[in-house]
Amino acid sequence: MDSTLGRRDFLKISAGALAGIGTLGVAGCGNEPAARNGKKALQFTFWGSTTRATRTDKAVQLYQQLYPHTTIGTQFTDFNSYWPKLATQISGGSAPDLIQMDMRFIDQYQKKALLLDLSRFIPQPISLPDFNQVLLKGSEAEGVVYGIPFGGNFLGILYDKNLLQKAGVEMPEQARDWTWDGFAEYTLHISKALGPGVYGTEDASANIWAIETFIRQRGKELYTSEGQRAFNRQDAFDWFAYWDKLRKSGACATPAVESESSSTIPALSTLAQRKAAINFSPSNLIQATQAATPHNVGLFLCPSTTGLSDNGTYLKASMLMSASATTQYPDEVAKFITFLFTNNGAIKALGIERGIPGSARAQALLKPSLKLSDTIQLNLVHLITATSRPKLVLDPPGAGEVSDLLTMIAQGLSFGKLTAAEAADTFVAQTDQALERVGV
Amino acid sequence: MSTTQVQAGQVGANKKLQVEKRKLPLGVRENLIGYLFLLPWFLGLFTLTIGPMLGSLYLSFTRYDLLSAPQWIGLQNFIAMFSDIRFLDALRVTAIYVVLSVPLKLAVALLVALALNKGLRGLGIYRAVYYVPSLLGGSVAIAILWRQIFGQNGIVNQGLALLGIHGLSSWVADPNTSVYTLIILAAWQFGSPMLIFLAGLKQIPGEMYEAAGIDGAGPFSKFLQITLPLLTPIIFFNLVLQMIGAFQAFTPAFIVSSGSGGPYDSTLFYTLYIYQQGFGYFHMGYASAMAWVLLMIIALFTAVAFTSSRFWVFYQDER
Repeated sequence: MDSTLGRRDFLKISAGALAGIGTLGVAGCGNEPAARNGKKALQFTFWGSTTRATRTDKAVQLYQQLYPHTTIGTQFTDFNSYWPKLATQISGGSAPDLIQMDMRFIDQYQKKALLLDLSRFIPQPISLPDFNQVLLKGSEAEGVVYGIPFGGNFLGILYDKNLLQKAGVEMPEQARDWTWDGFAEYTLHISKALGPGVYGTEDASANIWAIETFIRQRGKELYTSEGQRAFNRQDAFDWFAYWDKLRKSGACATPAVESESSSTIPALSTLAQRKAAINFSPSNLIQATQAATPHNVGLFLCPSTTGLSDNGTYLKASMLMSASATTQYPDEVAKFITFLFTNNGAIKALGIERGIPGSARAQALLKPSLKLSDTIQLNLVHLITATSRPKLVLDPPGAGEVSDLLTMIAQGLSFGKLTAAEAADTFVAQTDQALERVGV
Repeated sequence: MSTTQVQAGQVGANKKLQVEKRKLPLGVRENLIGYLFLLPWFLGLFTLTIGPMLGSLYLSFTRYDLLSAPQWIGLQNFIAMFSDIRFLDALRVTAIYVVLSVPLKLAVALLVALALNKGLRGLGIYRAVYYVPSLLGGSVAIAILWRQIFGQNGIVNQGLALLGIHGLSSWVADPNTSVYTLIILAAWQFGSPMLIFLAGLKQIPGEMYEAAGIDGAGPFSKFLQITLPLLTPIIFFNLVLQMIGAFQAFTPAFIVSSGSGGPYDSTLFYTLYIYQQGFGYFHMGYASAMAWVLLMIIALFTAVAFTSSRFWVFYQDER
């Protein structure tokens, strides 16, 4: 325990010293497991909205009715504060038992042996015979399951059907007719047809998932399994130059329009504001985006490189159900996870709020309540499962910083502060440095 | 030495100590009592300030991600800063912010203080009203308001449209102008230096102005010959405080840029980058190193200010 105590001290120290934002240090104290009266108390932490919390609490209550000797306390916060809080709890020696994880952090956490190996509970008690295997496989780390995907997600394009109609164009029928060159002409046509202020597409050059898809279309990945850069300067240059061309032709939104919008908040996206007919977006944002605009929103696959059957898209776990390696109740944890993914009541309580479930039975159970936009998404998930090349490399710990670097550099290019060549050089050099800084 | 001897020696020493205690001069005894009363504060200083500072000094020489024990890496964090373009961006942005916002804020504060020092009726109300922005300045609401004012369809652009200047883009979202909107925000929060200036102005003896008036000095030369020189200690005090504060500015950039420091790092304040590295990317070691570099920069600038003060700050009791 000595090292844990030491770590907690360091945490308090560092949190306190950094720019006066140091209230985090005390967060790791408290919540002793109250196992005295025979009751097992588990902690479940997740990020999300109050809608998610209400749904989760409902599932938890169902579980507690079934197993009265277990209590499950839930805590939730927004995505950005979730990670510092979780790290604080872990270094304070009071890791929550049940942890909602993101694919970006799986690698970092499992390398430090912080996550419970769930493989030993599969197939019993966690029985997932009808689960989407591509999805499950894509979330493994070195062949071990550290988290069960709540849902599958992919990078697609959302399009405004009304705007396309107004511009007199239709989406291509087949994904293989949908090339980057075709996309450039297509969006330019829309921009011209819709007049000033409305563009064919958003400027997606700052989107890390979009550049990843672009690089995967070349048969590569963003990172190696050792956590190093796997793309080269040419890849980065081609990406930046492509969007530079669209920007100059007027096919994509100007930087002024872009910086007035947000790509992470659907209501503030260029699509919802009807400033662009096409957005590159995680597929599960279709519902929220549709809710934010009176126009009809469609979902399709990303453009691909000419003549390539592999269009780089892959299925990614929207989020995962993981557990702490130090939990006192691994069996209870496995029991609860089994319940979440297989109990009818729990499946209905959670709905598709965390993504479309990976199990066929859960999908069938939820089908009557699915909206049209969800059904489109579900069908495309099946298509991608059948055709895509799964991503088997996990994002390294520095991936978050690389994503921010891409945003910064793409902004520099769009505002004319950098050339495409400079942007490519900078992105490559700074990516290496960000990945190096983490070490491990 | 036998045990009895040792004991005897100790007793002797104790006695001697007691005698000495009784003989403690009054001043020292009073000081001791003073320190006793300060104890709670000292406790805070050592456990909450100095302790954590030493901890962060240690962390600055390590690689530390919160999840596992820190690893000693020597000076690597400090060396890495020089090739980190975002670190250099942060330095540049913060330098622009400090150099422009501090003088501007002090000038506005002094002007308002001079205006309020005219013996207005209801001075208390004006003072309170003009102080309000300082209270609100760090709040989320104001940062959002700022986005609205300087946005593409904000008040500023609408006002310019009335003057026939159309088609301007957002001031906040343009990397060429965004930091200046934050400088204006800082200047608007002139409240606390204004109050200090006001207090300083009240201390300037009225006879001096009367005497100068008799000698035929106009208001402008009165200001230059009397007000300004006698106010230099106050200006110096405000300068140092505001400069230190400006180096550590965080909230406006964090809110206006949604925590990104964008666009194109144009609002990436130093502390915001520390926050991103520490709590966003979990590079606590690197963030600690940056925090210490900032401390050294602030210390350097403060030292320069103090050294220069000998040449321009005038204390009335000096002859």
